[in-house]
Amino acid sequence: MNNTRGLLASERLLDQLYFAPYEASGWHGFLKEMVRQSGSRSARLLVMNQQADQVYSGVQVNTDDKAHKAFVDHFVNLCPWRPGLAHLPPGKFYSSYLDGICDQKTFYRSEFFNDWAKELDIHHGASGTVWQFEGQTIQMFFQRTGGQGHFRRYETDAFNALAPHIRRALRLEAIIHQQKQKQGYLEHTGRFSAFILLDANQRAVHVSEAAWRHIQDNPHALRLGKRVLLQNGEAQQRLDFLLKASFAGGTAGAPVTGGVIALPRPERSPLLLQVVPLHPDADRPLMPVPAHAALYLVDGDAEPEFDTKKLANLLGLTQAEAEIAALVAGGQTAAKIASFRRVSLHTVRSQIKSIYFKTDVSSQAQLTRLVKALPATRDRQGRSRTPFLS
Amino acid sequence: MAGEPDLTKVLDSIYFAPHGGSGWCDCLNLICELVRGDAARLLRIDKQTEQVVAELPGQNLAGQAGDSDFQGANSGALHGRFVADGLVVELKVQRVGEGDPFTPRDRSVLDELMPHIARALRQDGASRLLMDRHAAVSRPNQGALLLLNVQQEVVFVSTRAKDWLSQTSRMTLRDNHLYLSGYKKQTEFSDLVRYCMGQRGSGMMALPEKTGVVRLLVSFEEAGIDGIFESNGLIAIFILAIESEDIDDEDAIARWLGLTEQEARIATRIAQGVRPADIAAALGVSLHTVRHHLKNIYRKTGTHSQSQLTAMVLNLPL
Repeated sequence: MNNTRGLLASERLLDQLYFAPYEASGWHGFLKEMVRQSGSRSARLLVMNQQADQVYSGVQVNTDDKAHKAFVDHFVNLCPWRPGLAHLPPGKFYSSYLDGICDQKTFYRSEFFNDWAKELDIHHGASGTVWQFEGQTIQMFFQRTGGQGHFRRYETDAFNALAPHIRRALRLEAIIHQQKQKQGYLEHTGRFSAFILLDANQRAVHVSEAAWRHIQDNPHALRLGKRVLLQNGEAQQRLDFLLKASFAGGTAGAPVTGGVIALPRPERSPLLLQVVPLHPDADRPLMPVPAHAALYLVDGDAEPEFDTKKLANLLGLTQAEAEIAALVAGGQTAAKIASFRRVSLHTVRSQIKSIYFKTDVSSQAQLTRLVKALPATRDRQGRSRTPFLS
Repeated sequence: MAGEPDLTKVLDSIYFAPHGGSGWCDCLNLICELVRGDAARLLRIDKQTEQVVAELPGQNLAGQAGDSDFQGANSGALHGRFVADGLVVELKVQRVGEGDPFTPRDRSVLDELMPHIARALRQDGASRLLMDRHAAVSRPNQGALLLLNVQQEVVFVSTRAKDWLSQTSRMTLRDNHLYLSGYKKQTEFSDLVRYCMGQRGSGMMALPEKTGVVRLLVSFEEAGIDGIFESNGLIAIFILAIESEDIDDEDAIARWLGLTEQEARIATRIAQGVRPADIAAALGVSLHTVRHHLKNIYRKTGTHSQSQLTAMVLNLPL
């Protein structure tokens, strides 16, 4: 709190830091600003295992990808600064030159310097273990060239004043990471995976992967510019009307009445669009809350294709039985299955009986429901997809 | 100064406020303690008129209306102000009765906190997008699904799963963990989850219920997302009841597809796999009438067959 003035104390740097968890390349932006404000050559933030001898992931600036990869894969454990770091208390930054981590002569003799750092003109460093959580150790490294000189005491002090903020931002990152992971899964699966979020200016602020696929598959019906553009003028008018109604208020989560737009597609049933307002009424009243509307894309033709291998695994069926179970779930009769598979009706019937026995069901309708509820379908793009119970 | 929260704790509460249920209220209480005030609140003020437009009350202030001052507060309030995106926000801390007036030190503490509060309030907006993305996929008809993180803490419960948990005695959700009744079932479940995590695969187990067998399908799911932390993956638990309820919200189907009541009834039954002849019998109309309605349904929805219609109805986010 005492670093409101001076080195590494600008509001801009704190903005970069605290928004890093919310933005796509936020941490990269923060490191860049750190390099600029601390007068460093390069910087990296590494997420490592507990012992900090294996790198899981990381962000870096000003080292070309090849050199960074060589560092992560090999040189990280050769770095003569690191054994010192392991023995010093975590939570603080240390200067390679001042804090007795490794004297400069030893550093210049090291394989690390001669095979890696020399070419990059890295002579000095400041580094620290900023946070440890759930078996992960997060370390940050700042490097300087010979010309830039070593990190002085007042400079490591500035890093240390910032350290609690970095830790807090990493905790935010961990919370948001968990949310994003859950969200990523829900957006990949289920029947509501194809949607676009629009803000009050009707700009698309989020497009799910499945929605992207629809947009790419139907370039003549639907495009995404600054706004969602429909080829059909009447449909566009309807969409504008529904979005306006959605932002004008009403009940969150309820579809706008009459809110279906059918986009005709050649040789296929139309793609349906539905507008659902998400939260016209704010639960936290202090700041005006940005309203969003969800635009769902519904494809009536998306017949799921069963992954019979997975089906066999899940239900303990033979491959042949799984294929038949999938056909039954697809609405085929035993007679049709028999002619399709070129076996006798008797064979198919006995296989179905065996499926019933193994899965503990007693009718085709029950089997259909069970199979359809299993996460064993693929959509047309081949990505494994989970249909939910209906 | 014993009992005062340290600044780290206050800053934590400020930055984590957007992620907690009563986050801002707790945060204001801590700020209050820090400067030994009796009441704190955040106000949004109209630039021109200086009128209070909105407020977030801290302790002792819940339920108090509008911009009325805290009852019995003395005149020496602490104010901190900032302008964010053209909006004026003020933090106001007050003391009751003839308490000590605030010191310059209190004032400087508040001044130091203000930029952090401003930043956290802007983050509120950023986390809103994620919340709305979540709202967009958390629809009632999502199926009965639970998501666990690799620490086996429950991180998501779908509406259907919530319904099922409230009805069954077989499984309980307590302190973010799942418990099955009966030692044997609990062991079977734990083993299954461990197996799925180890093999990165899936497996099923059965739970006998009064209404029939409920199956739990446990599946390890990779969740590849960008970020500086590793994605450890998730454990998805599907609750598969053979006698699951059918799609039956005829009103919503009518609204979605622009159908009449009778048409929606017929479309619903087609989607349930009922044959037109049986629909006719159930509704007490002729087969000819059902076919006539069906033709209108096809026309209105742009579909051409019973299977297309079924797919479309099943895909509706009801």
